[in-house]
Amino acid sequence: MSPDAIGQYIQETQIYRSVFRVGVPDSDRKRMLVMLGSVFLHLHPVKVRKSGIRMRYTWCMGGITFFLFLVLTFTGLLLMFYYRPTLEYAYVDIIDLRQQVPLGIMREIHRWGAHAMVIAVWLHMYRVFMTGSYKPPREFNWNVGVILLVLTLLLSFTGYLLPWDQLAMWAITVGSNMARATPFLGNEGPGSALLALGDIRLVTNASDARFGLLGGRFVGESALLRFYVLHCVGLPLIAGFLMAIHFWRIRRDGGISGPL
Amino acid sequence: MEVLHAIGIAASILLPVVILILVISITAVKRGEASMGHGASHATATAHAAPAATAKAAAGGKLIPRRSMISWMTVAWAAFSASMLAAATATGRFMFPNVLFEPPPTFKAGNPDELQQGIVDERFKQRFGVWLVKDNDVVTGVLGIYALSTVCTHLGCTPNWLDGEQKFKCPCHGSGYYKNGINFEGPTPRPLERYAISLADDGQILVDKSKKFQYEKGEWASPQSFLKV
Amino acid sequence: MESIEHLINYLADPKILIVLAAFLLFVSLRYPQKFYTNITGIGVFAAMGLFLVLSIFNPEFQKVVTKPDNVPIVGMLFLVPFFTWFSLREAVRNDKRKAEGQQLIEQDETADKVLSWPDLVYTELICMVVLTVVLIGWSLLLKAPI
Repeated sequence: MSPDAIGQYIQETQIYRSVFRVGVPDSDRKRMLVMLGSVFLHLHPVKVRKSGIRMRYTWCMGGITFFLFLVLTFTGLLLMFYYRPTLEYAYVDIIDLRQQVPLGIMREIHRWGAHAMVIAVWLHMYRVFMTGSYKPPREFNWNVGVILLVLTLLLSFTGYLLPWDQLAMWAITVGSNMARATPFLGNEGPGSALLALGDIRLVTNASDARFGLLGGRFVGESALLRFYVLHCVGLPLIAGFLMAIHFWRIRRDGGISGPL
Repeated sequence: MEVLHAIGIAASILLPVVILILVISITAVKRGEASMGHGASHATATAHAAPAATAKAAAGGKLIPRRSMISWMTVAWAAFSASMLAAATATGRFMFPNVLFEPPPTFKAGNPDELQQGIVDERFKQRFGVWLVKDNDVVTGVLGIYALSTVCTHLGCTPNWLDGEQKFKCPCHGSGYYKNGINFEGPTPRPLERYAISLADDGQILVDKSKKFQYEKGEWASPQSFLKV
Repeated sequence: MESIEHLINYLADPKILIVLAAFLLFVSLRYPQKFYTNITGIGVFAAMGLFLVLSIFNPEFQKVVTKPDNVPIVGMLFLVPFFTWFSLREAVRNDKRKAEGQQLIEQDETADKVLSWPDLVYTELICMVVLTVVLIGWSLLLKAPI
């Protein structure tokens, strides 16, 4: 049986036809149908402008960012099988991920992937600016993109705490101390004393924005758990939701690199 | 008690939503009746059959809603907004824990006689984040005990007491403080903070970390920040 | 070598480097046709590459540049000027076309539409494979700090 014959046979089985409705895209008609028929591929339009596939124009950065997001979600999920977000286990679990877990580079892929995603998202923003792709009617999508940028940085911030080493704990201490200085809502911020019922201050060390962020008066067990939940579930869900809007808006506003 | 609490919150969110749904459905039904032709079957008796609520334009049936005393749509929107605001507030309150698994803010720190004058006591640094010093007060000159916070006032790291050089030195960015907590080198803008210190009933030192005193605000003059011996 | 190192250390002082860099940026934007060409691009990036290769022999420089958490920063120091040059080179080309009354490059390309399969999808696949290889290679070579 030649490979061709085997291939032919497989392509004519009912299972194959059920999974791949269109089959091998060897005609233009099939190439169009396969883009419409697949839930993953139908993110793309059936036809794109030529400048849309030019690296010279798009730098590929948006796609790279999304791909890295998927890589990070997958590697993050795998890391979750071996990491416990408690004071007792967090640090040793991270060490174990390198020393005894199979393929000891999962943490590295996740961390360097995160660095790469931050770089890619900044370069994507740079590209959108340089090609003027933020001009009306695309202002809303630019704003969604900026929020996605902030979410990417927040994902990096929350993930940084999880190894629970000195670097992590102090970085988040310094970073979260900024929340103390929020106007009105921060314990040491301007105007916080105004929010008081007579003598009783409403905004104190144990009831200000920083306290809500950390779930405690300092970076401790509550902060670790909160940041873990935000990092693994909260922020990715919001980012996914906004990405859906972001990608849809691109199609709706005329496709990637469409003229104004 | 908690059950009543929960019922109260649930009701305050559900009630406006229920009102909203009822109002909108009643309004919709009323409008539907008017346009459906219940009036058409009594077309001849136009004077009283044509609902006072609507005036039909010619053959198009465009409705002009009747003006009533209360705008029900406004009520509905107000109820909706109120319920959304209540839900958001409840979610926000959820994020502030009622119970903290942290060491208690007050602790007993041994007898005053256990401290020698001029020595920085590091027994409570690790567990409670406090240095105890028995020395002359920098403000009044009187001999007594004060409790210094081990949190560097620059960015929050933990300084080390260097006995040989008789100074606190922060490893993060090099902030330096004298034994009395006053800063003299490095990027820190102000001295270390003191915690409230007093004598417990059994004669031990009692430190209350929930009250802090800052030198630069003149708070070290407060008798709560210094235990005279 | 000593005197060159002294010169570079002197120039690297933020007071001087930032002012110099800002000045150069403004000058380059004033005369983009001269600065954002293939020759200047190759020249500048070859010079940066040469600087990196020669400086790696300095032990302090080596320690800083090869520290795992610093590698992305070094990457950015190349990527951002590169993409600035890349995009402005296209801008210069488009300016020239406009001055000559021609259509912009993108307007020319916009008229043609190509099928996503295979042109876009294959490009993306190759990009993903390359990126995966780079990421795994990076993870094998550099250990995350702990």
